[in-house]
Amino acid sequence: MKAKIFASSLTLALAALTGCSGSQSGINRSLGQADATRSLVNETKLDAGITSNSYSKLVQAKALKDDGKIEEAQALAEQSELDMRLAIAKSENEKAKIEDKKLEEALRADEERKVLYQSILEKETKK
Amino acid sequence: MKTIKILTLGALAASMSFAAENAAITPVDQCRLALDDAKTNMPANAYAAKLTLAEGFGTLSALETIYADDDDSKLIPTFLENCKKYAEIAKLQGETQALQNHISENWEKRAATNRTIEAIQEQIGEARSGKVSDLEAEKQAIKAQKDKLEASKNEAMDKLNALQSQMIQVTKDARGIILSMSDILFDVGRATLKTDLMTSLAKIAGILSVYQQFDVSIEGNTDNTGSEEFNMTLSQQRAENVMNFLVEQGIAETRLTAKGLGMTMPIADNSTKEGRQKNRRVDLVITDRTQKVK
Repeated sequence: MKAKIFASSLTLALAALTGCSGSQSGINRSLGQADATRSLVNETKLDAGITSNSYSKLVQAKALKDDGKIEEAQALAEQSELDMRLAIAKSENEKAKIEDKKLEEALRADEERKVLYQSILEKETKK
Repeated sequence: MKTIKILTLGALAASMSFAAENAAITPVDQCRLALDDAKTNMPANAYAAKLTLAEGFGTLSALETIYADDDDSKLIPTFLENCKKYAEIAKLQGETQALQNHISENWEKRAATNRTIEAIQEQIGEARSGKVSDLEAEKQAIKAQKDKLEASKNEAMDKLNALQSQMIQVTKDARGIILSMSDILFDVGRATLKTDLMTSLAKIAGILSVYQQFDVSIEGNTDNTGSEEFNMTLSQQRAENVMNFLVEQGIAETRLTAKGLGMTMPIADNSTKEGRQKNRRVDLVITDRTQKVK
């Protein structure tokens, strides 16, 4: 019976330890990812408002982790990373809009050139 | 006062009903709505957006669990915020992909337009080179015609040069070829043509009938002996007689003119015998009509 109790206690303790280690690795992963995203994002010009907000959240997440509020810390670290991903998505969207506009203009110019050459051809063949 | 109370109560009831409606939308619903909205109009090839959406739906699942366990959990606002951010990012990525697709289409359109332009340019080039060829052919034809006329003229000149003798001088000046016939070929003081002159004129007529581009201006001249009137009449008669002879030989009258210049156009000194001899003459000025036109 004692052995059974001991075995059960050991199993619970192991389960608790595993769960704890899972949460630890989860928060470490989220914080590490947020940190890495931040350093990658720093190399490009992004919305400063969003990135500084993101950094504040990362600092907060680290503090929450230190306070043992692992789940909150993980959610905030994820949010910090999401802020930076949002800044990236906005920047790429802006670039695509600019490229699209330029290309539209170039295409319009090509079309005008085509009409011009067509009129020249008509004149040349009518003569 | 009663009316104000009724109105206040009505407004209160309306605001309460609005608040109740808002409260009915749970954080889970808000998250789902945001993700569903992001999904709308998403291009099929917006893979990054779809992955982000999948992450968002993962957060939705987590949110559902948290909400089911404890609808007042501190984690809910952050999870909801994260869910909305996934939706926002996915929506932007979807829009960006749609723009990229449009950009690709426009590049293809540009390539097609430029191919059309190149084809038109080629057609213009062909049309123009065709014209250049036509023009070149025309130039060649004109040159050939000119060469032919020049050759014909040189040939005629050679034949006229062959008439050169003591009595006929052949020269060339700006007006054309000049055949100067000595007055020895006429009876003295008369306009009658001598046989030698008629023989030479017959040869000239033969040449003129072959080379139709030539016109002839016949000019009678005298020296300064005798009266001016006499000399004018004599030179006119001699010129006319030469012209009539050429007409008799078959030369069209339209190609011929005759005029007497008397003593007005001496070519040598009238004070000497030799000079006077040279001045007594009939000139046949042969001009090329084709060159006159040009």
